[in-house]
Amino acid sequence: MEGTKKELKHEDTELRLGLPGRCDVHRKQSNTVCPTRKRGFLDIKEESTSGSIDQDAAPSAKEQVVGWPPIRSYRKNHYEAKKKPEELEEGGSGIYMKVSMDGAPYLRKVDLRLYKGYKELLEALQDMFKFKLGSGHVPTYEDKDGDWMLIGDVPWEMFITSCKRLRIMKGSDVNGLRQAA
Amino acid sequence: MGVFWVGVEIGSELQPAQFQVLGGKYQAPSIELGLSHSLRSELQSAQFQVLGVKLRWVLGLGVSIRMIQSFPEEALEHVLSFVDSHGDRNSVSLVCKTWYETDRWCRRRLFIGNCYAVSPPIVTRRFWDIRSLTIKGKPHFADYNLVPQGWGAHALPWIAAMGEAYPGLEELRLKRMVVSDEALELIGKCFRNFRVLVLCCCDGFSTDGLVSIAANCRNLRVLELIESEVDDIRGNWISHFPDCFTSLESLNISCLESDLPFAALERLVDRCPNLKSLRVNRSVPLEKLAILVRKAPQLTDLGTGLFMTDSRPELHTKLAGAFSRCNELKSLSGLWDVAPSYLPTLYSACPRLTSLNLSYAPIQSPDLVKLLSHCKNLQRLWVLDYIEDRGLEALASSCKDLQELRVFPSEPYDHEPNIALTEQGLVSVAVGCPKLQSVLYFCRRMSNHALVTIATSRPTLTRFRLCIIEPLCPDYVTQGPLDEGFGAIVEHCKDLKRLSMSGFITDRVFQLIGAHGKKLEMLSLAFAGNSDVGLHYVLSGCKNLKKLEIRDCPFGDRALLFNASKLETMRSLWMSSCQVSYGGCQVLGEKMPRLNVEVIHEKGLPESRSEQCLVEHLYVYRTVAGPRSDAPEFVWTMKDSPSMRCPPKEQLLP
Repeated sequence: MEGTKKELKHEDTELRLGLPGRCDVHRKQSNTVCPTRKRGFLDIKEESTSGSIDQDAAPSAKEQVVGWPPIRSYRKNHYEAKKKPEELEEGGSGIYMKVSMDGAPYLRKVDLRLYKGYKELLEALQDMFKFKLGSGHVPTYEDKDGDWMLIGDVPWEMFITSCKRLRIMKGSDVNGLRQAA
Repeated sequence: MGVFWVGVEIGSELQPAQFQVLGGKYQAPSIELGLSHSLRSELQSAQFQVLGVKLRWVLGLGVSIRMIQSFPEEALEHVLSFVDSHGDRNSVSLVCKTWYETDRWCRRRLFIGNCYAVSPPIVTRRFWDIRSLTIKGKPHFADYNLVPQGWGAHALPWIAAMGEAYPGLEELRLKRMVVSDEALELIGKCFRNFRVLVLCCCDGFSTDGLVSIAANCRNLRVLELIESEVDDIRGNWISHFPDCFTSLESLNISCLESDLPFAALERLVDRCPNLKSLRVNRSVPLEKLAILVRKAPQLTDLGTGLFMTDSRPELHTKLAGAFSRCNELKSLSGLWDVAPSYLPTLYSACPRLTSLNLSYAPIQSPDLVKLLSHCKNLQRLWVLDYIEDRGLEALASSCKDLQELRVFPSEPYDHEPNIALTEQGLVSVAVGCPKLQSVLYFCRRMSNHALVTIATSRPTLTRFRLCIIEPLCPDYVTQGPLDEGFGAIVEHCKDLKRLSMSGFITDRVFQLIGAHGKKLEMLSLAFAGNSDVGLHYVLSGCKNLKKLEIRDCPFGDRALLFNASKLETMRSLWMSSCQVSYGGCQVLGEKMPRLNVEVIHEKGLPESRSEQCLVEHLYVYRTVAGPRSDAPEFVWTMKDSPSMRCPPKEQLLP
């Protein structure tokens, strides 16, 4: 639709708050702009909430858009329950974790089974996201209970079974975490 | 002597089998009265008056009829007893006072589509003796977590009221209601002849509540917990069925998580010879399943537990043997985490299957195709998208009786496709299966061309629910909206009752729906449309619309207020994250006293509560019970304007 295309271009040049390249699909916009196909609607929503450290907006491991796709809780719970036995299987399929970094537009996934320990994992993360540890970036993870922990706090075996997702936080946000811990 | 042609025409087709004439020659359609001899002679000189509904009778030769003012009540009662569809029964009660009163006394089965459209006292005041009650609570979007916890739909007040008024209640079917253990205990206590309990998509109770049911309902026939969230404390509730309890016909506990004491389950199956339907939970291992199936070869419906274990040839043989003896088995489900090596144990049962639920079985397309090639009589299939396009093509060629297909996503939260399932799979089935009526399909791309093909090949569709996983996804060929495709569905499928749309669609599709969707009863929308005009087309065009549920669409106050009176002809309207303002809701509430206009704001309405502020969720439904008294603090029911308040019309049933 021509009208929509024109709006897309205008949006790109607009100054606004938020991560670069992000498409604001908040409901207030009546002509919701079709997000770029590559990144996908769900990833964009994920970024928009992972930007803040606000407790209420802390990203959950579940989908970010409430109730989409429309799958009953009963079936959703089955998907989540299904993942656990596979993860713990000896020599079975990998343990895939989503990794986000504040300021980066794309999410990545890592297979924790590929690493023998924290040293290898951190090296891989630094390589993947092009950052250096100690330069204001701190790797953290969300555990089964929904708490955000510093990577390296618990023994490696405990980490891979309790980790739900990874996030590389910017230094300023981390102080809150350290105090809470 | 001439023959009077009389038949009952109240909206539905007359069923010849229900009626046979008394004495003399009879021709269909005709009616059996089963009257006593004295009444029969009264009828011979009776006069009938047709009131509102055309009554056509066929009576034998030698009977003369003259029209009279009233119709013998027993005769009317008997005739009405054949009218069992809820809609027709409601119409019957509206014909005249006599028919209303007769219906009050003799109605035994009641269906309440929205628990807040009436109230327990209204029901118990009206009906004398109800034996079977079905109640639906939360709106459908509650399934997708769009209705906040604590919104309502409590079963306890209903059960308490029924306990007092209808101690003879035998059947209770609840959907999307909050059922407490206390409510379950009350069932066990109040209803001596309780037979059927079905809890579908309910929550709020624990296995302790089930203990009451098991221990107290001595005549229980049916216990079905369908996709309910149960606080599963312990499995031994099942041990509370007394040893003398033998009446069970259907047991569905597939949604329970905890381990069941197998010995108790086995004894239960042993002593209930009429058990036709058994759906166990995941905890029942494959070797135990073999035992159960061997003990109950009369089963028509089986839900297995986990269908995998390490490879054991003797178990394989045992299972295959057990299934081969199930000559009545028509429906199979459960099948959690199927190990492909055990699928062949089902082959002997497959040719008789009419319903197969593989939606929890992560088996790949080749194994699925092999299994389905044995299921020539399949009418309903639920499956994961692992089936892929090629599997659906195979399905289309082997299952010509297919009526319902549901394809669920294996990885719904990934935005990249993980399997080769596209719109082509659905097209194959639509083209190849002449009896296809009902579709639920999750996929990642769609085109207008595919939708038009589906529509023109299969105008028999009555339910079409398409979920393209990425919101706002356009036609992948043209990159344009999917308006024409969905428009074709509504235009060609003239009996379409239910439609769910997704992808990139504009107001144009609503114009088409309003123009063609004359039989449409339920419409679900997400991330669709451009403006209020879209909503207006739907509300003004779809004559038979009963339920409309909308999320994240740019619809505001104007279409709603303009079509306010339409809302009274519907069961309900749900709108989430749209552009409805608080002020608009207030106006609607004032204008329409017979509607409850519920504004739902989880985080609480802002202090200012300005008229322009947009509401998070809006739920509008017609009611004769007024604003509900159990609304939590995040739900506001808009007030009626004092000048427009009128007493509830008791005849109106949703």
